[in-house]
Amino acid sequence: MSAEPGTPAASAKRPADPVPPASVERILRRLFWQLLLRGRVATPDGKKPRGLGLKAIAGIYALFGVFAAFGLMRMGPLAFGTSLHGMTLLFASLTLAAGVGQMLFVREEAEILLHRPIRPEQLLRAKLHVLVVYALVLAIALNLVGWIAATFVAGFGWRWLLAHALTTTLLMVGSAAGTVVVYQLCLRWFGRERLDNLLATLQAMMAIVMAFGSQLVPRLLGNEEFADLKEVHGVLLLAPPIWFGAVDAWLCGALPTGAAVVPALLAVGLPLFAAWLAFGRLARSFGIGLMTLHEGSGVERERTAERRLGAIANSRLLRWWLRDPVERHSFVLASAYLVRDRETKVKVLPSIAPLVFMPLLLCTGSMGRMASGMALFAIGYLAIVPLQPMALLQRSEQWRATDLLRAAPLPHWAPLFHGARKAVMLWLVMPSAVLVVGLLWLLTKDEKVVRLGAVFAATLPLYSMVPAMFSAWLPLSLPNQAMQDVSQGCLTAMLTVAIGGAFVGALAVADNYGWFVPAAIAVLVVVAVVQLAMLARMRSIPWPRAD
Amino acid sequence: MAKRAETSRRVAGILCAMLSIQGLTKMYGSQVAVDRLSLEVPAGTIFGLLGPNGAGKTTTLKMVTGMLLPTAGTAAICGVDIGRDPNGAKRLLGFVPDSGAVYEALTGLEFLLLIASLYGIDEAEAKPRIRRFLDFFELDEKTLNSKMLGNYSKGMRRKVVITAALLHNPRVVLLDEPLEGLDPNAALGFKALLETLAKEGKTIVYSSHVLDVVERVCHRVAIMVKGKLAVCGTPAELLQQHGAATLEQLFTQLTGLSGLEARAADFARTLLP
Repeated sequence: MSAEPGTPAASAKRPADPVPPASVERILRRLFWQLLLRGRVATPDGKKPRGLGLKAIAGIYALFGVFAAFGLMRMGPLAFGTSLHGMTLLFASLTLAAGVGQMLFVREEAEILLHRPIRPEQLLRAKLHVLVVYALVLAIALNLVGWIAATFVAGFGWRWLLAHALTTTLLMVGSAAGTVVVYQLCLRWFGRERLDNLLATLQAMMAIVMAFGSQLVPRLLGNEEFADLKEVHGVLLLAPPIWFGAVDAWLCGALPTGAAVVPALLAVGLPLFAAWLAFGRLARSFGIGLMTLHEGSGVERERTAERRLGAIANSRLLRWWLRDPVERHSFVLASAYLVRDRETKVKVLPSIAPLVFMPLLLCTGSMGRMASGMALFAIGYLAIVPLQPMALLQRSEQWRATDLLRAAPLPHWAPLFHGARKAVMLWLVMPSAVLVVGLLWLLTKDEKVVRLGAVFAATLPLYSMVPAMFSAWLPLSLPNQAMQDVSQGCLTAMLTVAIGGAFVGALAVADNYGWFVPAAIAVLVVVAVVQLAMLARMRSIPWPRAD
Repeated sequence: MAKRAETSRRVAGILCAMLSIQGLTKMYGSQVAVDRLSLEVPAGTIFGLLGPNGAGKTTTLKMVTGMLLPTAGTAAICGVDIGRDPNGAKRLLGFVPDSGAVYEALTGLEFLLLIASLYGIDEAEAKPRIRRFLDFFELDEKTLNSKMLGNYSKGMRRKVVITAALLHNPRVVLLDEPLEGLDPNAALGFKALLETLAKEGKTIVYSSHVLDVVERVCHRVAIMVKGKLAVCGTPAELLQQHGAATLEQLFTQLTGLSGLEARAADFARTLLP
């Protein structure tokens, strides 16, 4: 008996033909572009989800490039090229490092694609192609004004323009390939049991390394010496941007061939070697990696982590801190995502790593009063640290589970917010504060930094309450692609840093006049009053409507 | 030459079992998820794969589809070993995962066209096929064109996932809880579709917890317990061999659950104030 015409059973008599590999990659590239620009999750309102859009993001990068380029215009070709590459490494590569982790290993993707006739290498190549082109677009946007200014205003000439285009491409290919190689090697060496934890840590480490790598040369030489940089030698070769800057300078005749050989070999050789490893030699293990992630987490390790988290939440001190049972369970929920969930960790850790380390970086090249000023800036900058993880913890792929919270007979959402806020404070903000103050003390050997840091750390809970001032805040309640009000976000961040800076400044001035203790008490009283006002404001915001 | 090789491979596929599993094993550390499983499923068979939670059904299906690497053993689709020629085997199978995972930010049509293109079906050919599935499942074309998959109801999404599994006309169809979320009409229609596909010579492996559906639809049934194959045969044979009146009774007998009604009554009493 055959199927009736017009039914699905009869709809496809011809078996599927093998698809040429090039076509499969083209199809996958189109898919990953769509997902990159549109996001992976539909919005609750059912409208087509749209991210900020490539043009808008490139526009923001280009705008930033304007300020950076004009700040660098007093430099020679070598220093200018190196600075632009440093900036590119920092911004575009950070985007890459964050994107690679989230794009390469998507657990749900295995259920959609792994049983289709696609080779893992094709999947990897398609993803990397999209990431490299995306990073390259951002890099071009960032360099655009610098390119034009250097070519036409500073008179570096057309050869510099072409050389810089070539080296920027090499830098992006090298960054993408290098990032993938690190992931692939970790997959090989550490296996499934530690992979989930490792990916997030790895991403945070790469963000820090790239931030340091991009700033190493100016910090090593000091700004004046760096602006006059005419040769590449010794320890400077440790910083990748100078390899590429040297090629730019050599191709436009500003650096002798002899001095350019080593950096040029590194600039061309390492990216190509990394690309060969990533796209060729290690690409096969990508499929194994996807399967490995798909197998789920190690049962034993999860049980240990579960016990540890339960023990911490039930410790006497935390039971007092989290007296409200709803608050305690919200703390456990948020902690579980911050500590165990790969998706949350790969977002949160890399996002706060630069916030913590960039101000520190500014201190490393500064001396005397400048160093003290920078140390104060680094302490005040800690105010911004709670904002980013709180914003990210509000977003999750499991946002629909928030219906359970909305359905519960809770009089107000505030305990849910406070539980999550306290988890962020305990796991991220306070360790960051201790790390920053400790490193600042090591850098400056100034006890004043420790005094100021300790008092300022006590004010940090204030800033962690800021995200709940505008609307109701529930943990993990929004899809990842839910749009943030960018202008409100920037304004909030700037105001937060300004308030933090004002507190630190006031404490520092008081310390100079020997009034540190009264000033510290005054600051803490002001913070307590503001916190009470913030709690009152929070109580006036009703439960959010379920969309 | 290549055409002759392909023809002989197809003939071999018809003569031998469409799905052949030999000694398939999956271990997570010291924990055995699937233990030396061997099965042969011939063409035109609807094969029910049953077992309690954690019995290893989904792990088995994922190894057969190439989504998981087996610790030992092999699985072959129409004679094509999934380990040696994964793409060759994957082209011959369709899989409905129990998660129903899709790219939520794509519309239903975008998703189905993407899947079709991965099997070499161009848009001109794919669209009429998709339309037939739409008609069959009574899916609204406007919704499929404009609404993101993330905003579909569970049933609608399941229909799209089933369509994505059958669109390329696979010879072996693996279904993991396919009826979950489908309304009774759609479920009835789908069961009828499975019977028609089996009559057309396709092999269907149906993993489910809904025992009465399996009993009515499947020609052969296997019950897995703790990663091992406990029994395998036609429903009638199995009931006769084990002296059970229904598949449900046989299932509880084999999976070690007894006195369920008394346990439920005891538990309900603990809930009373």
